[in-house]
Amino acid sequence: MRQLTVAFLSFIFSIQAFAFNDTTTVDRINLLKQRLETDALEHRLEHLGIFKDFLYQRLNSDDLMPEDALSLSDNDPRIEEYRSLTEFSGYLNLIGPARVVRRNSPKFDSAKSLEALKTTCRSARQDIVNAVNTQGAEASEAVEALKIVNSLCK
Amino acid sequence: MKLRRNNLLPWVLLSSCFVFVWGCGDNSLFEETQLSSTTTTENPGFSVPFIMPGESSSEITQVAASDSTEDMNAPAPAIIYSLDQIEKGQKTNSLMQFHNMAGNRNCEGPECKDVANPKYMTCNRQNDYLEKEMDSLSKKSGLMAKIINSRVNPHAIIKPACMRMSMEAKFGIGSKNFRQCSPNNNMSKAFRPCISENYFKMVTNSFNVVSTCLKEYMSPGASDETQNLDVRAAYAMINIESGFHVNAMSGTGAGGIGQLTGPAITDSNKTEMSKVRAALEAHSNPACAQLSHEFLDSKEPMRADKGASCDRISLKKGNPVLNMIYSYAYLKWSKNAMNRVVINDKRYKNKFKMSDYEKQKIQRALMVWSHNTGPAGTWTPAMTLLNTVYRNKPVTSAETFINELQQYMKKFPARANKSSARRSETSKYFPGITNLLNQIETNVGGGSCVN
Repeated sequence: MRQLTVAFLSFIFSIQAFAFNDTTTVDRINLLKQRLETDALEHRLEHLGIFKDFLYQRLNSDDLMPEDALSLSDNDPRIEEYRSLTEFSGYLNLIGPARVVRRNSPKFDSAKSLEALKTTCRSARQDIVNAVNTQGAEASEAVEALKIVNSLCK
Repeated sequence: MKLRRNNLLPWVLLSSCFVFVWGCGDNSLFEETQLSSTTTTENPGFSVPFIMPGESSSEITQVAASDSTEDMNAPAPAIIYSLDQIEKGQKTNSLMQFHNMAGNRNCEGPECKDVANPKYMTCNRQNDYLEKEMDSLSKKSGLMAKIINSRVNPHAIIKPACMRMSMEAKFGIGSKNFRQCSPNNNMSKAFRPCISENYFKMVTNSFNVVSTCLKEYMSPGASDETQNLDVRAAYAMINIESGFHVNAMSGTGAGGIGQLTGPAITDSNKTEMSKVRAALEAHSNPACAQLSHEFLDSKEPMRADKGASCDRISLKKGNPVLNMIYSYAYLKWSKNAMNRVVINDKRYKNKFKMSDYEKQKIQRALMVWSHNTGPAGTWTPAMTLLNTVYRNKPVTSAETFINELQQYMKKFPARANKSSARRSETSKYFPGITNLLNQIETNVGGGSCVN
């Protein structure tokens, strides 16, 4: 039943663009998906790690939200946009592992990276679905994250 | 709703006497002082975190004929209601339903005999529906029989006085937020169960044995003090959720001690229960392996669908032990999720410039909060807080961070918590739990509910 729900949600949200509108982020997501689908398996987590860093920087940017966020009025459209990106960022953080060794680092090990990817793929879907379960059905940010997991683990 | 000092004083004195007497005796893990029984016999060869009595002769006192404090239409949120119940209880001196206790303020003289023997309710036809079942379970073999037959350990992780206060404060005796399961698992509304000696022992001993066996699973490798503080957090959460009543059931279907929902049960079955089994079987106390064998291996997993709601509350299904195990499992999953998304994520972890002790306070707050908000309901405002207020400065105070998070829950809720009712409920959930815990700890004589 739960798989059906997620499949249904995936279908519904696949016909929409994104849960959020920030074009800088949307462009980076499209680039990420492209890289995940074309680059070698053992390098995919590195791409994801770079994207997470980007998203973190974006969420810490004055472009999207000032430091004194509480001063915004409740109906300021920036709040909803920021909420959506932040919620999405949280789902992405459920896709482990915490540390990714970059391929230009002397510590990079192809076999270990591949193993890390397999471990990540095993638990990521389940953890996101678990989180969606307790959030209720309309978790479009989770669906975006699941799309990334699908590309990552293809 | 705030408590007034002039109403509080007699209650604090009374509770202090109760705690003092309950807590006296030597410090052996498996020995206890007099509750209402007169003899103490150890149960050799079975090392459980409670004591098997040689005999038990409960001294029962009449309970007030009616509970004038009962409010069948309890206002939301439940926390306010619970605080209100404590205040009303203080006013009527009936919260603990003791007899002739008000005079024992200094616990000196013959009147202390009353304090030394905590009183249990006299059950009636409306609230005695669990008694026969407990009696039957107590005559069988196995861990549940030992749990019911053993007297309460005064050195349990959570003080028995705190457990008792939870059971009295959350719901009045006339409350019907409870369900009774028929033999064919049909549910009907019921009054709050009678807090008899057996019922109190079953709930208190169950929580102590489950907590003892799972605290290492909750915080592997942590100090005993840290692990016990996690148990205290679980206690405070259950206190708000069900008042430690085995068959509490909300209108939304959340049920039992931990008010488990269907998704929480499904998630626990899929991701945590195998780890729980492994932790129980690897525990140095053989009672923990027995817990796994009798409550997990020999029974079907708890079912998540609404039609199987009796799984969450029925004694026949292994509750309250089973519900407690699942509640810990779900808390553990939430804790891991919060750690991965926020606390230990490489982009956020350096923002926390504080001692491990302070950081653990934040971890516990996020873990407990997400029980009500859902995981994204906690990480969304928490990450927003870290990315705005703490954009250019570190988090140095757990208390300040938690207070700010309360504001952020309201202003920056996750998608699922955007309605005004949910904004209000989620933002008050953890502060309310803390507030109620503080009230209980004050009322049982100050200090912590952790022994």
